[in-house]
Amino acid sequence: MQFPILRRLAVHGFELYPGTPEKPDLDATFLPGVTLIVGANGLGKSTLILVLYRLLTGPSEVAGDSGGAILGSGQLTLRPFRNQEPRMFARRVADQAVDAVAEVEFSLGSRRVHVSRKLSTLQLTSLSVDGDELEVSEAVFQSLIAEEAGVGNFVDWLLVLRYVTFFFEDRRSLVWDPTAQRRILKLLFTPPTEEDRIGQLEKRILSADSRARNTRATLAAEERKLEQQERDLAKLPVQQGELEELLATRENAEHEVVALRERAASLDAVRADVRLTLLRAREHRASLASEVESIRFQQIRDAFPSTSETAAYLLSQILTEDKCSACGTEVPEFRGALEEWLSAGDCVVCGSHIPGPGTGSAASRAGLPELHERLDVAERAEKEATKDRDRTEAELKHCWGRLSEVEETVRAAEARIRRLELEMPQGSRSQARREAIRDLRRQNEAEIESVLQDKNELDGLVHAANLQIAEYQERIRAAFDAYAEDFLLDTCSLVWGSHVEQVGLLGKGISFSVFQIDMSGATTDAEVTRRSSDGVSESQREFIDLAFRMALTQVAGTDGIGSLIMDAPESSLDAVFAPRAASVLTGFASPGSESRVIITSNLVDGRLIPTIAEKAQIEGPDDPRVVNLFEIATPTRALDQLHDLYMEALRRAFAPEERPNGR
Amino acid sequence: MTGAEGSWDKSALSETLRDSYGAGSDVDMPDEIRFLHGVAKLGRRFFQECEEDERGLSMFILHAERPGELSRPTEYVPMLRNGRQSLSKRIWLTTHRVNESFAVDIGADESDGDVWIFVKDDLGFGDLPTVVIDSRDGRVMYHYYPEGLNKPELEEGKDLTRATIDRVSLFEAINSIYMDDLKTPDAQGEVNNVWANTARGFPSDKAEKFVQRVLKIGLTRAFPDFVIRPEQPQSEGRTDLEIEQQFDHDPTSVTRHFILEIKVLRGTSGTGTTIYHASAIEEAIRKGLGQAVVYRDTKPARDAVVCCFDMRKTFSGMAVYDFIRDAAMEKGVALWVWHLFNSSEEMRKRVMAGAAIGGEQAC
Amino acid sequence: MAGDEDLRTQLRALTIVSGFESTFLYPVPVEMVHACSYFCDALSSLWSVDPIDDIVLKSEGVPLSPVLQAEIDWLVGHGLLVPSNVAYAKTDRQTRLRADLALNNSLTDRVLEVLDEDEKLSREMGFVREVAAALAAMGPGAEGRAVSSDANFQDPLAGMQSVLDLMPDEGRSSATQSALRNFNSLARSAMGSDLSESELTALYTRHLQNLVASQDTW
Repeated sequence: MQFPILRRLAVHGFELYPGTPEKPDLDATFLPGVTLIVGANGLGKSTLILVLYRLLTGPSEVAGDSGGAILGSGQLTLRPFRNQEPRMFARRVADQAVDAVAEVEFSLGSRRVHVSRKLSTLQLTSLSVDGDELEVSEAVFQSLIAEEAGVGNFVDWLLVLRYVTFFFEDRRSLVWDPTAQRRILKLLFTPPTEEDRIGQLEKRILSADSRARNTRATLAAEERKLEQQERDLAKLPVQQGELEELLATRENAEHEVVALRERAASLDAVRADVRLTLLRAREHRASLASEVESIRFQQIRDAFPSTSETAAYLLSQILTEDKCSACGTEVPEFRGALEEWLSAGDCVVCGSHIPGPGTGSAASRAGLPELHERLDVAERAEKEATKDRDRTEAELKHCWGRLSEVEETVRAAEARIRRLELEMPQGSRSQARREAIRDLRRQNEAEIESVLQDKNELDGLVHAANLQIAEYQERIRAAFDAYAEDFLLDTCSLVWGSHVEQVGLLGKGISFSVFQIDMSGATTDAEVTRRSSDGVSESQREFIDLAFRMALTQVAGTDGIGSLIMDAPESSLDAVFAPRAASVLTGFASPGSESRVIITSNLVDGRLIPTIAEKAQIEGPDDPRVVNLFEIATPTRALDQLHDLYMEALRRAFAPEERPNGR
Repeated sequence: MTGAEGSWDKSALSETLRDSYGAGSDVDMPDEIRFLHGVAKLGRRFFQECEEDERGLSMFILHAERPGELSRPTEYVPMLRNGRQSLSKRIWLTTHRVNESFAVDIGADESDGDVWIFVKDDLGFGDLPTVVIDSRDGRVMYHYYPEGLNKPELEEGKDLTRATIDRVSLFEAINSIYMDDLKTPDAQGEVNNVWANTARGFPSDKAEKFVQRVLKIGLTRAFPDFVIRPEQPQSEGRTDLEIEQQFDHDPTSVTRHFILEIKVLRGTSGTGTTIYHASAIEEAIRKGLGQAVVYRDTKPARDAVVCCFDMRKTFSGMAVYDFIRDAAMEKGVALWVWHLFNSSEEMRKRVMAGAAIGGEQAC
Repeated sequence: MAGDEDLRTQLRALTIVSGFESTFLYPVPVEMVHACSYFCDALSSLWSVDPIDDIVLKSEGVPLSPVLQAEIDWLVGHGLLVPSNVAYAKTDRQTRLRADLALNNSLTDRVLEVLDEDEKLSREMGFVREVAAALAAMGPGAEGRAVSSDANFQDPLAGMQSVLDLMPDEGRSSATQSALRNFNSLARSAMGSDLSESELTALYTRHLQNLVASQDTW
């Protein structure tokens, strides 16, 4: 697709950005590379980013988007702003932004788009492409954008902006959120028509699924009424109460099935994590053990070339793991003795003294003690990982087992209910209700069947989409690696795997291909794979996501270019990570590339901004690549009172060797 | 985890299936039979397709181990079956899978006698199972020496280019298998024979399996470039065989020559406690005929035979098959019968009473 | 239970080495033993046996099974397997044992005979031997190419460093299972026959050989 290349932002007549007498208002040109928006708290940095965003979206939103898991809800639709929503900027200023107009200029491929909107309502005031004025309407704007950007529809455009291009302070995550990721991957790497079919089918499944469950509930209610009716007629001396009990059993069991399916899906995701962790831990432990063994083996061969290979092999294992492979016994004492014999040059079989020089301190050879320690750690990690895996597998197995039990309960209850209904005397009064029940049952069966059929079709479509996306996975991984290696101390890479999502409650889950994060701690030997963001520092978490967005932009973007807008990146960075983050950010918009990176900063303590400035060769606040809100924005009271201190901080931010705030 | 389509390209799988048709059907065979089968298939394919000047003599020796130092240079050929090697004018030391091999060249001026002497005396391989393929006169003849070149009298062979199978050759082949390996417990060998209690003549539960296996081995030996496979490998308890042939000029087409419906007819159960009545046995034969017809017509196969192995102690002559003759004739299915005797003595007694040693063609 | 598992793994190791005994690749390099065990695991659902390792990390080279290696060590310790050319190879990622393994026939012949008498074990051994022979026929050092050509390793939906699930649940299939199903459906439509486990095993390994051979050409 064509990601937007942001070129210029101007805001006129907005009280928040009065500008200076010489240069009123705000007018910023985004040159290729990095642009810094600097200012103190309250000067409107985040608002400025939001203005930029809203110029690109207009007064529309993805239906249901409240920052949660909206992406899981089938086909997404567009909804226009409601009530007070369009007044988000008007509320910020005393004059309600009545005269404020903002304009943005950006490229989509070779086309240059210019948009201006009233800030009070976000209403479009002009729209042009390559200088040609177009009809000023949201519909024209939306279809123009979808076509030029090469996305299926305007909703996709909003998603790309929200999940790839703009990194707001709420830090909506992409790589850590498989549901969001699978949507974005699909819209970036599969033809728009495919995306539509999948979306429509998902939507159909979700509504049919809930319809089927509603019918089920109605059916249960009708069955209850029938029983009541028959009981009132006192025609149910034997079965009295049984039907009621069965209905309750079936209902509870059906609820449990849903809960169990959800539980199984989440356990399945956990299992994916613990499995990978275990395999990595095993591989690591085995490698370390072989490393120790190889040194031990060589020692024995050097000291006693006549020893048989079998004996040397076994002895080196005892020296590595304290364990005798011949009998399985733990033999730390023997291992100690063996160490001594070996270092003294004594016979490694019987310990007899043999004249001649020993091999010296065997244990210290080639860093053996350190290797042994690492091996101990790795063994513990493997044991831990094995326990985790066993526990998860057991839980999952239990869950599946319980699921089939409960499903059987549902089937049995269902069969008994039907039999009871047949056995009931066919009273004329209840005839109509019986027929209604029969119809409902037939309808329900058809509904369920249709959901299952649709899910089968969805499974096929998703599989085909997975394969299409898979063609890009190596490139995305490579691009990510290049960004991640600048930033992360740990080795961190993407793992292309699958994520099972339960679309609707009926039937089995659908397997979507997504990336997961694999982080192997290099500082300790306990190799840990972290697929969820737990246990990863906030700064790592964010920048991994950022690197992922950059990789996607690079691979999915025509010519590998795009824009990235990040609000206050330093807020979560510690002193160590800030300079690394600077490398990542400047790396994205490298010299010669048309890509843009726009970063806001409130000059908190840290090396991020100075390093970025240094790397991008931005020499001071007057550089055209700096939007200096200290000058442009309406000063806050704090700024008025502490003006000199702020100015000093600003100066230092661009001084390569100094740290802000003089510390 | 992958979807239904899988990660291996389906058209490539189809090619493998075509090129390796019948692969794996012989794994339960003895090594020397697999060896013969492998060489016959490979040899026929190669020599039928090769250029005129590539025709010649080639010799395959079943040699399961990596050979030591030989008096002539050897070439290691890991995947002989991939068709990239000329088979001609070489001695191949190969395993029973006829793939991983070592080759020794035969000199242009060496006579057959020189080659025989080289193999027997220089190499010392005269007692190893050997197949010679000779395509010098335009035909592709194979000569199988089951106990090596040292015992030329045991040689079996035929022209692979003309190899076909019909009722006559099939009957002869089964009959010869019967004579050698089935008719009495002595012929069957000590273990796994068809009797649960040989002395008392109680049939074993595994009689069908045993007969099927013996037939499969024997037929593979008699028709080494055909594929002999169980008819319904996926379903338990079926003991029928299919005889198929893949034509080199069109590897996608497989001709299924015969469906063999094997029926073991028991007079009693394995413990002798249950006696099976004639009506039950007749029903079993009828069922066998029905199955043979269905499989022949649906698979389809050119022909079908119901092979009855009659283990009943009482002998009432071939008249006991009269009930089915007409039906079998009408359906075009052959019905052949062999008697299995629980001892040589019993065989002699029954021959005296008019039973045949060897098969009888009920129709 | 743990004891049974260990025993099964030991038998697997022994069977594999014995499978190579009737090939020209003998004594067999330990990496080839691991590769063979991997393929046996991939095919285990076809043979209706439990795999030694039901999950495998997709990475470069032959997946090394620590579980199998521990039992190989045990067999060496008990004199059933004889190592030769023992060495350790270090790559940038890891250190691995390199050794050639042979049976100590004076001890193993009886063990293998007993196994052969058990119908179920004998059937499994037969399959394992076919896989071993197929690998041996690819030539020495081909194990890495064999593994990387395998259906599971070629699955575009499983990236490097991801977990390959050889026995997926919930009605899903591994890539091996899909390939086998495809073979069978092709055979059924072309020839009207279902294929036996042995035939499917043979076709799977033949296909693998074709893929490895085509790599050789390049």
